[in-house]
Amino acid sequence: MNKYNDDSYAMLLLCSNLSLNKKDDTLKPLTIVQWGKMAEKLLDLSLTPKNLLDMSSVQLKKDLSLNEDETLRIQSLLARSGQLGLAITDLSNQGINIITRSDTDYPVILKKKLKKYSPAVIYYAGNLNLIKQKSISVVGSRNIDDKALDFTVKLVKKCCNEGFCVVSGGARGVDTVAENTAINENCNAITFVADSMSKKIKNIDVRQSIMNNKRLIMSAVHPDAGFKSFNAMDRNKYIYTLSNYAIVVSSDFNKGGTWAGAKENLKNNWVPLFVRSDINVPEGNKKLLAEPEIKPISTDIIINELIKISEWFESSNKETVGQIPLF
Amino acid sequence: MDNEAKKLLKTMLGVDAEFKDGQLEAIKSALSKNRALIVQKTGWGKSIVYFIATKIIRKQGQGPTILISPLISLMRNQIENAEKLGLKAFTINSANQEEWEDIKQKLLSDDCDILLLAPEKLGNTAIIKDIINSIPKGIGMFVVDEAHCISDWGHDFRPDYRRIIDFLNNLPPNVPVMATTATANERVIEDIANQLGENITILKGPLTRESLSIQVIKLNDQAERLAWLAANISKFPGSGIIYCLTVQDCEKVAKWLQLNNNSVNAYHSKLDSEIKKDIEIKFMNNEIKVIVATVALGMGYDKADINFVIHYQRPGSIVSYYQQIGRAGRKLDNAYAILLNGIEDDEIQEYFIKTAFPTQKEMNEVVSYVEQKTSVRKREILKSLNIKPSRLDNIVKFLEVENIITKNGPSYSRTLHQWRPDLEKSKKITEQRVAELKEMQEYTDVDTCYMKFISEKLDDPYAKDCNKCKNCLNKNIVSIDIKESEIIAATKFLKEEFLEINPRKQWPEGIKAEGKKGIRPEECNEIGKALCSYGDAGWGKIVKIDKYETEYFSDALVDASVELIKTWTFSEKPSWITYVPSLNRPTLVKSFAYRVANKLNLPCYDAIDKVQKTEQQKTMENSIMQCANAVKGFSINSNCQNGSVILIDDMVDSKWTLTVCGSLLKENGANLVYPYAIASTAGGRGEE
Ligand SMILES: [Zn+2]
Repeated sequence: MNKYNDDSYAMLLLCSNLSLNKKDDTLKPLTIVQWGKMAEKLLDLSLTPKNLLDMSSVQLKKDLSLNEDETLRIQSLLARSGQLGLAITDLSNQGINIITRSDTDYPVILKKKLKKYSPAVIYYAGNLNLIKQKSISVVGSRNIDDKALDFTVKLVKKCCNEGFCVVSGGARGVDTVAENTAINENCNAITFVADSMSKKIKNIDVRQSIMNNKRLIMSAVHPDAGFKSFNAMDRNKYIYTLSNYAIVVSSDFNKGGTWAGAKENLKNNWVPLFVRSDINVPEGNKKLLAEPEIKPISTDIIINELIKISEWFESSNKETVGQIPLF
Repeated sequence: MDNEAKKLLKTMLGVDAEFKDGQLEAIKSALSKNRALIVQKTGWGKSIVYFIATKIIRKQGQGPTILISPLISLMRNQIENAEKLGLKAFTINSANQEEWEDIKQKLLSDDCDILLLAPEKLGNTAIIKDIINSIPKGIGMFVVDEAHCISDWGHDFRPDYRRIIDFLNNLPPNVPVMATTATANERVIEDIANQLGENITILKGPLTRESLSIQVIKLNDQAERLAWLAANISKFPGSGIIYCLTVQDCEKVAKWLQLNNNSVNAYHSKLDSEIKKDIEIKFMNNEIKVIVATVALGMGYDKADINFVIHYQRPGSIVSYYQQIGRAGRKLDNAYAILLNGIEDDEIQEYFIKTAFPTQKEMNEVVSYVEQKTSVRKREILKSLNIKPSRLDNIVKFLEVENIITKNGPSYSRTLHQWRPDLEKSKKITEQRVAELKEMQEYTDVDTCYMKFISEKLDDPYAKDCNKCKNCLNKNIVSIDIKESEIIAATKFLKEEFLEINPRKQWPEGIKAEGKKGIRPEECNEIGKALCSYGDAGWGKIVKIDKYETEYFSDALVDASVELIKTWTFSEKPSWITYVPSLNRPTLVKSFAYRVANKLNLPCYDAIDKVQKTEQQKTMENSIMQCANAVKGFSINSNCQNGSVILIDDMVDSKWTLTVCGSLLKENGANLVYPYAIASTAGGRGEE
């Protein structure tokens, strides 16, 4: 009857803040790095997260070689099952589901590309199958000029025509334009938000497209969480890695999330990256275009009806896959 | 573990105390973190089971028990019992908001053993996030009291109990769960068990109540029942409960018995919680002989020495009947269960069945309205949809627990869940209700053992003859004789039961202003009177026949009205009479008003015109619609007089017609306006 498996429960207790009280609790969930270490220890012992639920403090100390404080922390987190049940119910009543790295539904592409930095817990609303579609991610700054806006609309329309799903971050500016254009084109959109997911899904347009299976909203932070810039930085990783190709519409130079995200992608070689190369593009675009791995994309290409965008994208796409985490 | 539990039992209840069948088993189930449904008759001692389990769990260093309980009165009882046994118990409910912060501190400092919550609190995000999430050791055990409320096959179905199911389906396996119920048939037990999940164990005991002596008495009408009560109630030893089906009947019976010098109080959901609490305590201390109650005095009210339960009307099912008579004789060797029964019982029950579920059409309307907005308030819905506020409350509650809409502060939003109403199910449940009503009808006619009949209907394998009931003994346990003089007195009482019409105080949205607006003194009616409740025994029946069969209000009604108006204390004596005109039946009320005026020696004037045909007021379902409809319909002509006036109509329900006509009369020179109606149809049947 239970919707979640016991491994997921254990992960939610340890890695999410669902069952905690932000104001009064000094207890904090494990960070992704801390969880990574715990996961390695469990693997070494051929255990899975659910085994933690039954372990005594002696076992925790001995088998997982935890000190007194760590043991107390793990036990305190695991004692919050009742609260977790209430929190999951509240989310599920709104239509928000949860997946953890131990679920089979978890987007395997994130694990492949981000390895131990893939989010332990993802909240989502809408059609999870959309992550299986070929997709482009569209990123750019919050404040954009008309040209950038026009480019975004045309790009998304062209990609939609060829059946791409559009991945974006739900922020003001390029993100929102890309997302809404896709939905207006009756195409699919994935929005990986960095805050306020609960609020977003109540919006009538968002709700309707979710109910029509056209939209997937995801979040790696609690659906009620407010904006935090470090969450937004992490979120960039997920947008890039969920897509087949990434397009930077406009970026500041050496500052802002778009710039940092593009550089991170370059460093990690997650997806082929294209940067808008029209005249009068921002400084950041120019600097990015100077990188050899980055390809230019201009309005000319998009409006050229003879060019099939999927074929055009079909350039160097060499992935390297190493060891991927199980949970 | 056994020893520890036994030791606790003896510390709590005394050295002689022993566990009853099944109690230890239930405690062990909780300590092994299992989920159990405990079906045991009232008085078996289910609370001692979860109290002891809580003690042990707390000793092991885990968090408090959360106990879901449907009624505040029940919670009060349980807190007292828990405290007697040395447990720290608190409740968070809508009536004690000022204590929440203190309770939160207790939870934070691990100074609470049991937290009692109403089921709707599981849907209150603020309470969960702020208070429940601050329990440092988590929830040690989860207990659901009166678990039959989960089943919509049962008569005590509470939509909020649905939240428990959702919660249990999301609850990790390392928290023990205990659900308890005293009253359920196989169908309900099966339904609860299915909903609670596959890994639940059912622990069930026998249901027969050995102390009860049962008798059924058939009487013709309300007057005969009142007469029987007046003659017999004082003969019963000790204290007892009289159950009525509606709030109105409850008030009426209580008043009647008070007039007959009995120490009696009415108890129903319309009373303030302070008053209810006071009555409960007085009854508990035997300072009141009889409580006349609706089902509001319900589940688990724990007074061990109740000597009798009398039903003024027949309940809707064997299950609820069994539950109600089960209140009597918990710790007595003998107690009485008397069922009075007559013709109008079915009419009330059928009305309950018919109105139990919101209709498909209503729910669809509300869903599609909410769907078109990001968020919407209840009053916006009322403005656009012709739905009664109480009905809308039901619909909203239903949609909320089905997770179709969600509440944020005062607003509602559509969730992401698909709206697929289970039509087949509501139809089946209605059929089930009709079948249960038939069983109850059958029960009143059997000539075999009453208790055996009940036990068999509850699928109790231990059913047997009780050798105590009227049928087993083949003689009356209590007298069935009524004196003619008492029937006459009761009939007179019923006819003198006039009602007050309290004036409306506020114009709804969109009438005088965009928002609500106070009705100013220069627009406002005085307190009015209505002769009777429409359709009731007494005048109510006659009004019904006169209005729809003879289409002429008889002189008996005129005389009764004149008598009533003569006893009225006016702050300024009325100098004329007018009436609310109708295009459908132009002479019905007019003729009545002229005849009343004639007998009062006052002039009657046709001062109000019906200017356009409007929808029948009774088809308007909420204030906004009713008031707007009345405003459209009437204007004042030059016949309007100065001086105070009696404004006559036949029926009063929402009071908007009288309010609008009254304000028009005052605007056109009338001084004070005293509304008078022959019958009130307000509040439906005041069901609980
Ligand atoms: Zn019998």
